Amino acid sequence: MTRILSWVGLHCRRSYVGQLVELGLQASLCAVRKEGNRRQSFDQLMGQLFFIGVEAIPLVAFLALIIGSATILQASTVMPKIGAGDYFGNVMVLVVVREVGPLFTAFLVAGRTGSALSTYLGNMKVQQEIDALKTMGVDPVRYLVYPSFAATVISMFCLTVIFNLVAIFGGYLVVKMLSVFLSDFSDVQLSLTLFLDRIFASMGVMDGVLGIVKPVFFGVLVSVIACYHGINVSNDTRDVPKATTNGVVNSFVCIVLFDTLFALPFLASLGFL
Amino acid sequence: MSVVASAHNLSFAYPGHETLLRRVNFHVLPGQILVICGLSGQGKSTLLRLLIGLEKPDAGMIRLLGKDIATLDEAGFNELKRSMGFVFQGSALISGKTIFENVALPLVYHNIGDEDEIRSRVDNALEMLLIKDFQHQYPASLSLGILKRAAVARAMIMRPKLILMDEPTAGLDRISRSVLLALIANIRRINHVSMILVTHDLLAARELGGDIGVIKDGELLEPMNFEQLKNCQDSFVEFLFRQLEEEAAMSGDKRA
Repeated sequence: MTRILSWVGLHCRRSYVGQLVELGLQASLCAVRKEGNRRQSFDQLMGQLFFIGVEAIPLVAFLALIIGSATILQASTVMPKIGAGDYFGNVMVLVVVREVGPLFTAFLVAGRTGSALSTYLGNMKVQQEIDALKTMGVDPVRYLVYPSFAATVISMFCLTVIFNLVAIFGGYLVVKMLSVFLSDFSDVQLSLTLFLDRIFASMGVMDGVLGIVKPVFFGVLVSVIACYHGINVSNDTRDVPKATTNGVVNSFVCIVLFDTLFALPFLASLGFL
Repeated sequence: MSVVASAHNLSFAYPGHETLLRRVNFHVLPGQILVICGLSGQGKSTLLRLLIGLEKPDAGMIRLLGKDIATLDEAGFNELKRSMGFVFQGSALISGKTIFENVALPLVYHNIGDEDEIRSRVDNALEMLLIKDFQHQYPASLSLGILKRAAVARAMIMRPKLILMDEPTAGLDRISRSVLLALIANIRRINHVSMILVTHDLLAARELGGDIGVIKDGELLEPMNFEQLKNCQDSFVEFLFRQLEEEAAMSGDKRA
């Protein structure tokens, strides 16, 4: 029995998922372990936060504005006609806060940061820079993976919040413009207060919890997958673009998969599960 | 006198390939330099990778600074690596860091000394290797000769007892090669550090003055000095010397 369990354990650990989990745990443990130079880690974390988080804000804000506006524009074709013109706030919660916000931000970070991380680490591996770190007694996970991991998780959360806020603002602007220019919207007297009231009223505890858990989890997924593919490149330059592509594609697949799983609590609350 | 590094019946094969190293034996004493020569693909670099723990041997034992590395856990081996330096063939400096930051990296990571001490130690190392003027430049903008010297500076910054070097003179022009060999000899003399140096350059081995071990078909011949090696009756060693003479004749180098 023990042999069977150890065989299963060994194969789980050697599997792709097992190795991702191991890397994720190693990176998480670096936050509490005293090894290495904390000042150096902090400086690297700040550098990564700037690249992954701050530099992505304009792009996230721009896309959020477009998507928030598009969502309301689509909803506006139906909602006033059925007398639901005051409920645009609810639509924003359903579509943007619960789904599109975290999902779109995760895709954006996976495409932008994930590819950069895989390429950076892959090139370091090919140039033997990672081996060089090992020969100096420097833990590559602590030195390279941990700052990227922590920065991606923090940035993902902040970028998702920014995405949601800007998308809501974009949606509100569209509703206001429509109410001025279109006759169908003349009955819709939507103030910002009412719009926000509707949003907060339609948000439940689960939205709050998942609003934090989802981006953090997606951040973990994107950073661990990207770093795993980067540091596992063979010593062949041709492997770097392959690793980058695999990292991004696998991140996308995992994000969609887990996004579906995160929708299950809502189904359960409606009595479907 | 205690042995700094030794290998006993070391064997190794890359997965799916034939055995590369067979029953390799050697030992290095404090301050001694062991030069390992041989043709490409004979396992010279792999031997160094085994010694620093980047590969695991299939059989045999490696003792470094009195410790059997197979018995050490990761933390223990990392601690041991603080007393060792490694110079890669392609320098392997961190591309996103300046020469100064690269050389300071082990000191900073291992929390050795305050900022002033780190600066002073790095400045001394850079001065010793004549590359202080390049300290603020990134590796991509520098020549191979400078990069190799920076890699040597990084390897010696922790004041190691043993430095491993993989083809330090490969790809260098004659002047850069001579300068680097003189600097390596200087470091060894001043710091009394032991060295294991892998090269295909027999002349470099002679200039550094240590014992030379030749790898032949995966086996390491008994290390001996240059003159003894020259008189060695082994057909492979004779072949290496013939190659050396031919190369010297072509390049007009009379030292061979």
